Parts: sequence; structure tokens; C-alpha cells
Amino acid sequence: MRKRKGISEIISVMIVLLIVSITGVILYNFSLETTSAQQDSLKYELDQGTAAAQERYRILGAIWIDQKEFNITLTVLNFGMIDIRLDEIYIDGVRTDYYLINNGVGDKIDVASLKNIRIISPINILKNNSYNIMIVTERGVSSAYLWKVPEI
Amino acid sequence: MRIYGKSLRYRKAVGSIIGGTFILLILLSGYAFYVFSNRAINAHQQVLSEMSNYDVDRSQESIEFNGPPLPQGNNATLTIALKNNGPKSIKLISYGVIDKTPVKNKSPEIHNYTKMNLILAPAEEQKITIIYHTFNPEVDDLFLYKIQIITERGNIFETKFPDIPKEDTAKDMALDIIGRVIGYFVPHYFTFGWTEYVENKTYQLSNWTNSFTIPKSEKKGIIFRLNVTYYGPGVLTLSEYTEIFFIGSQGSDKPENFIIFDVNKKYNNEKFGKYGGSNIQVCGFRNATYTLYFGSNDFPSLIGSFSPSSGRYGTTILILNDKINDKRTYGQSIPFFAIEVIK
Repeated sequence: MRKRKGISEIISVMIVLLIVSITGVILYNFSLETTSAQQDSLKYELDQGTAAAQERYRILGAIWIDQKEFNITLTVLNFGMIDIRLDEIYIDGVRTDYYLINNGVGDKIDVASLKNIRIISPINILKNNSYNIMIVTERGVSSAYLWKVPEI
Repeated sequence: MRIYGKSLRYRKAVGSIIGGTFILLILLSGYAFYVFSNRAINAHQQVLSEMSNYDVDRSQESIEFNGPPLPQGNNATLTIALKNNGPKSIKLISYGVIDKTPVKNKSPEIHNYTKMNLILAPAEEQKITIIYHTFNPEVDDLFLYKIQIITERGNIFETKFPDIPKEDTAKDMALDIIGRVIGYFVPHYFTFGWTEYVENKTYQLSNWTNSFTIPKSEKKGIIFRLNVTYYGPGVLTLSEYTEIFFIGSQGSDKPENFIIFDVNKKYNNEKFGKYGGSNIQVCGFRNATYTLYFGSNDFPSLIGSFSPSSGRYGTTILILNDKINDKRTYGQSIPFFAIEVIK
């Protein structure tokens, strides 16, 4: 009887150790996964934010190439610390859906370089009017340009 | 029992160690996350700080154009003198020529950008060359060409060609005349419709001089007398934008028959006759050094029939140190420096 009592104590101790170990492993894994996910999330957000913060670009000018087709060529200067790619272009708030061949949208614009972007205006362009052209990069950084159409 | 008791205490201790180890590991992972996030945020903040400094540097960039763009020998090249007035070095990465001349012909303007690589240290001054297929300026149509200088930090500095200042920007103007000149005046110059601008013929004759200054809004004239044979070029330096009247001495001769500027001849000749009349002409000139030629031997291809030997009076250059839009503003009194150029 005394011997059985001793064995049951050992078993109970082993069970306690097992529970502690399993619980510890579960908690440790959970904490690892949690911190890892948070690290990934934080790293992604910071990387995106850092990259976006390093973006600097502007439109140098716009030319109305084909007045019948509203073909416009924009010259974009990347003067930031990181390469950029343009994603969307808006004219007076209207998204541009149509681009010309080899339009340059989506192409990488290297640091300290210029790029011509060729678009078809989604709205009618009138001579001697002004239009607000906004371009947005893949990282979500936007830049606006007030384009005054010459009287031609 | 003693043995079992020791074993039990030992295993309890082991359990505590295991539990403590896991707790420690969990705490370590939390600490690692803290360290990581701290470093990542610091790195992010550092980038933000660098970009903030970058923006400050950009805002401090300052380039001064020392004078307007000057054509160099042909219609395809301009020279621009730049000075870095900012506290930081400026790297120029590109220049642009915004050509508005097609707009006159109802065509889209042209934007032409060219890469360049030039660093301007603080207070440094350098001349750069702008190359375009043609510069064809006219005085009547201002700012036909816009020249953009683009820096690595994204600033754009612009100037115009032709660069003609407004009336209120006139300053004292220094004139340099290189050549042998003597004080001389021939009143016949002003018998061809110009006597109304001369009062009592009290003209101030100049002595030998090669430079003088015309105060703002004053007017002085230089008479280049051609009735003596002169075939050599003279040099006239205009330090400010200047309107020049050409007064031909012979009714049938056009002013360009007397004086040709070697810089951008086409530009100058195109503007002759702006106010009409065969011997009263107005032309605007940029500040530059011009070479004056007298006599057909210097420009036979341009003049053709002109013969300096038949020139009775020569040519007067009336230099007006202000932009004048109305001939009446010349008034009745014009002090003249009468200078005869002989060989």
C-alpha cells in the first residue's frame, strides 16, 4: 500500500511536469507566433512607411500632344531616395483608364531621373483652362500638378 | 519513504525549472520583440529625420542667374551663368527647354529635357551650355523659351530666353567701347526726321573714351561716322538690356546696312523696322558684348550694295537706358556723346 502510494505520487508529479511542459510549450509557441506576426506586421508597415517617406517626385510639365485625342505627355522627375513606379493618374479627380502604348505607367523611375508618361485624358481638355493632375505611386504617395493649357 | 520524498522534491524542482525556463523564454521573446520593434522604429525615425533634413536642404537651394541666356555663335546654343547662393552644394542633373514657339503656329509647345551632371559648390559660379536644335527669339514675343535647371533635390530654377526685364528694372548702364574714337559730331545726322528729338543742337561731344555710364532713364547716343573709310570692327558691351535706335544717314539705306552685330544677326535684323521708316529703327538687345562692323567689306554677303565710301554721314546709335514704348517720351532734349569712329 505504501509502495502504491509512492508510485501514484511519482505519477502525479510526472503528470504535473507534463502539464507544465505542455503548457509552457503552448504558451511559448503562442508567444513566438504572436511576436513573430507582430514583428512581420510592424516590419511591413515600417518598411512601407519608410519607403514611402523616401519618395519625392513631381511633374515638371505636361504637353497636349494630340488635341483631338486628348493625348497628354507628362514629364515626371524622381528626386527622392528610392525608385518609384506610378500606379494611378487622375485629372480633375477622374481616374485615367486609358494609356498610350509604351505609356510609362508602372515602369520604374530611377532616382534622379526623368520619365515621360503618356496618357489619354479621361475628361475633355479645353484651351486656356487649368486642370489638376494627380499621380499616385504604388506606395500610395501622391503628387499634384496644376496644368494650364496653353492657348493653341 | 525518504528515497521517494527526495525523488519527489527533486522532480518538483525540475518542474519549477522547466516552468521557469518557459516563462523566461516567453519573456525573452517579448524582449526580442521589444528590441526589434525599437530598432525598427528608430530606423524608421532616422529615415524620416534624414528626409526631413533633405527637405530642409532642398528648401535652401538657391541658384542665381548671372545675366540672361546668351546665344553663342549659332542658334542652337545658349550660355547661362549660374551661381550657387545656397549653403549646400547643388548637383544639377538636367536642363529643360520649354519651347513655346510652336504655340504661335497653333502647335503644341515642345518640352525637351537633357541630362547633365554638374556640381555647384556654395558661392561657386559656372557657365553652362544649353543646346537645343534652334533658338529663334523675337523681341515682340516674350519668353518664347523657358530654360529649366533641375537639381538633384528636385528644385527647378527657371530663366527665359530672350530675357527682357521690365521697365522698372532699368539700372545705370555701363558702356564699353573698344576702338579709336574721337569727339566729333555731324548734325546732318538728324535731318532725316530726327530733328524733333534734338534741342538747339547743343550736343555734348565726347573726348577719347572707351567707357562711360548712362544713368537710369537717361539717353545717350554714339555716332559712328562712316564718311571716312573704316573697315575694322568695334566692340560694344551692353551690361543691361538696352533699346537701341539706329538712325541711318541715308534715306534709302537701312540701318542694318551700317551696323551689324555679330551675335545672333538674324534676330537683330528681324526686328529692324519695328517703328517703320527706312532710317529710324528700334531694336532691343540683351546685355552682351557685340562686335560692330562698318562698311561692306566686313559684311559683303549681308549688305551687297552698300558702299561706305558713299556714306555721307554714317550711323548714329542712340542708346536708351530704359524701355520706352512711345517715341514721344524721348522729348526734345537728348544729351549726346558724339563719337566718330575712324581707322
